[in-house]
Amino acid sequence: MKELTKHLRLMGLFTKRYIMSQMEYRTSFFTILIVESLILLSKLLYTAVVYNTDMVVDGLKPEAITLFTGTFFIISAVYGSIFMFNFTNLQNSVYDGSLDIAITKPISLQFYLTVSTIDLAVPIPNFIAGAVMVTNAWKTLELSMEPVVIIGYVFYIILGVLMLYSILLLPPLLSFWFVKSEGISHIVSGLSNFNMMPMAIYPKALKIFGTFIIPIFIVSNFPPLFVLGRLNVGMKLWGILAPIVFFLGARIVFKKAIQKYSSIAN
Amino acid sequence: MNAISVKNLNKVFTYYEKKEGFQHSLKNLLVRKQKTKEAVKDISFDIDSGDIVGFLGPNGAGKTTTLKMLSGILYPTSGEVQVLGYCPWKRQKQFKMKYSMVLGQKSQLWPDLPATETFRLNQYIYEVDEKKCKMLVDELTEYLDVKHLLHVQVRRLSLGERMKLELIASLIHSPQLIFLDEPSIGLDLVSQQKIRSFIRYWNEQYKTTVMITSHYMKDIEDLCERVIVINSGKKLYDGSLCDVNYMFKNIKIVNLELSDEIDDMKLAEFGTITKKEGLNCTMEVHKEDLHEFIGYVTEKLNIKDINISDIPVEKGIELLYR
Repeated sequence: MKELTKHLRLMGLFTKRYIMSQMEYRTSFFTILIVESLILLSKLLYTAVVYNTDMVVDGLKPEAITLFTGTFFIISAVYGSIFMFNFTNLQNSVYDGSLDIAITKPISLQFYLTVSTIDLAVPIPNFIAGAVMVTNAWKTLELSMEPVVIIGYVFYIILGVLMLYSILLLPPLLSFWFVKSEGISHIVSGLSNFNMMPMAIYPKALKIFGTFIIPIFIVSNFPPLFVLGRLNVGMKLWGILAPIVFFLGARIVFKKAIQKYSSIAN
Repeated sequence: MNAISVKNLNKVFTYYEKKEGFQHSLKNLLVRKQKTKEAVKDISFDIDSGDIVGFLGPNGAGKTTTLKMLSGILYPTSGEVQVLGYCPWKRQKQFKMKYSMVLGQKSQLWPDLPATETFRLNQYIYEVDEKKCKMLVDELTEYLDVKHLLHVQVRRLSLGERMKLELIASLIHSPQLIFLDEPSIGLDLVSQQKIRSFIRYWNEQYKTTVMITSHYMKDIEDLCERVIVINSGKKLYDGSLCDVNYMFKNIKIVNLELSDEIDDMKLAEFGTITKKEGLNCTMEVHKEDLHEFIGYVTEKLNIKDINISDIPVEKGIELLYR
């Protein structure tokens, strides 16, 4: 518990310093704010477009589809805030040898390299757009406001984040073997975009692949499917089990990867 | 008591070569022949607690690789190491709390923020009491004369100023052992001197074990009684700095101040001319040839002065590198 508190506090300290570093460059800081605000506007426009189509997928009306898209945006916000920044940094620090100092610090290396710093600028538009879409869909579809449904939705979002972390961590870890692995990272992060729409629109083979082989659909398809009552018991259990199994797998690969670190010659 | 104990340490790296040109880049993209390099070969030594030991060698000798293995950054290929009673590459928290690593060519300071922000972060990472940390930072900034730099963005500082703050950041948790990898690289003479006196002060004050690599002989002469010299990954010498030249006891340095010009070829019959400027000449002469050489010099040459000495430490180390 003491270690967890320490690491959560460190997360705050790293994030604070990262934001402070960005604020040292005023022009860049304000440009980011403006750009992110424009992105937010474009996401909200996208919401309006999806909402105004009469597309029906597997019996899901446009309102229900926005529940999937909104959930995807929320999870993308988490990805953008924590993983994207840290995972890119991880690959860079393997490449330029700056990992050396990090290894000597008495904190969890996996924590330091993968979740220590939160980028708050990038995820805000995604989060706001996602939250607007989900709230609107929830209201329009008159979905249950029972605590069990809301808690279940949040629970599957957390599991989705865990799943996304475990899947997207693997390509950056390859940099310990191959030094550069951006290409594979792009492929895998591209896979997560399949979640923008309900998995029902994809062919059967892709559904099986995205549910059981590389369970990318667990990330942001399972939470709305749970809310809409379209997850059977087996799928509910798989949605819980798969993220845990993949997280443990990612942990094992991380430990193996760090042993391969060869630094760089001075 | 040993702070560091190393037995038969080895490290093999794999790498590949690429010849010049686009064609070879293309070839390399498809097929590359992997090669191996033994960076560290069967090195063994012990270091007592509280000692300052110089770890010397030419570029590419394996010094930094060895330090990185001792600090747990790298896994060795084989060998046994105990540092402060721990196996470094297990990277236990208790171990990491007890040592510090300063890499002259890599910084732990956040470049866009003042150094105090890194100090605060390290205080939290190493779980140091705030009051104790403040006292320590006050003491160190006073000694190194960098108090006025504490609120300046690190990237605006000179190399010497940054290194002083780097040292402070690495000492926040009062480590029992410090690895210093070329701490004075690129610094001016005054900064080098300040860093040296600080390391000496810290070692005396807190009985901290220090293992230092440096290409500046003055760093080593001022700080280390014992040196370990390696080259091509192999240990060549481990002992007192003063005795380095004992290995070359059979070679004497002869300085001649001549009155007239003389043919170099004639002098070269007795040894190696290492320096010749006008009528001043320095030679390395084998002890067995010294008697005959002195006879020749005093009888046949017109000399103003002659001086015979042992090989200086710096020269001894240079010879070891060869």
